[in-house]
Amino acid sequence: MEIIDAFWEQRNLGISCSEVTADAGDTVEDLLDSLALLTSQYQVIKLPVARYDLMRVVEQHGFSFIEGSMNVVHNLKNFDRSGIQKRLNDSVCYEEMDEVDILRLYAELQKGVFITDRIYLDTFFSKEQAAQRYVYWLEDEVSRGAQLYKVNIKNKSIGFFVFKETNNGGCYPFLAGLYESAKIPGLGNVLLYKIIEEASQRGLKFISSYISTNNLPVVKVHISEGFTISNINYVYIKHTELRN
Amino acid sequence: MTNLQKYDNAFIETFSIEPEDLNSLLVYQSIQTWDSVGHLSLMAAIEEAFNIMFDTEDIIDFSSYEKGKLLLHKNGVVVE
Repeated sequence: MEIIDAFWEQRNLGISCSEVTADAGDTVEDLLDSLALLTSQYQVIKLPVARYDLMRVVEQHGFSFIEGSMNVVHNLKNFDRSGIQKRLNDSVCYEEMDEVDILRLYAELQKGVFITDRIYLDTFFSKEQAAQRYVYWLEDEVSRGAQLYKVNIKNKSIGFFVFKETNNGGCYPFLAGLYESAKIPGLGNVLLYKIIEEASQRGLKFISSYISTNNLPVVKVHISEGFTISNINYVYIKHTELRN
Repeated sequence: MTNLQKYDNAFIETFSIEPEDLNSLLVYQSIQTWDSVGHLSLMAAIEEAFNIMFDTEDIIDFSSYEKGKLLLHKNGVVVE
């Protein structure tokens, strides 16, 4: 059982936050011990699948299920495309963002690119908070070395992805999206394929990312582009009164 | 089978919808199955049905049931 003080959510959302992650070996007693330690205003618990004993405990303690978090992995083998996908992919290019591009990205995010995450769906938070949280997140990750890429078709920027190499020979492209003004048919696949291309060109071994079961189109795109599901956690949330 | 029947069948079989769903309200993302993955499947089904090859512009402009008819006409296929 791991408990994280998600202190960054104080800046992002204006509240204290703790995140608890249970693994397959944890018991009900372990979970109860962890719950007793939580004092933050916003509490997030991630449970392994098929653990009804743990699910019952969190529900009895006032937590609500909000999403499944899927870890998806691509081994960067056999990803050549043909036919329609190749034609579409060949018409789209990507390049690293400059400062102007990054400001454009932040403006697009603030318009609301992502509408299925646990913050956006939680009526405790505003849509503006949900959007601004992504901006803060990207600012933090860019300061730690992540790179931002814009994706273009016919010189028009239609979306973006973030690229972050991990120290085990892989990468963690933790965020990618199409701008609301550019929801063009078929481009979800192309956007993901550009990430695969970039990882391959860098000679990396794998891509590992997390997607939400709340976003079925994104789940389908990952499966169709050759990702496999490595793990699923059920995510529960709870808001409490300030205790300290 | 008429061109319209072939065209309609591509939608019905790709998206698992009913004939009465085929109207001007059927646009990209208006139903759960017409997402990015569904769109590529639809384009493949239509190309195969009419033995044509869409260019990239057509694939990304194909944003509705009605718009598709116009794009097929551009590719020499009359659907009516």
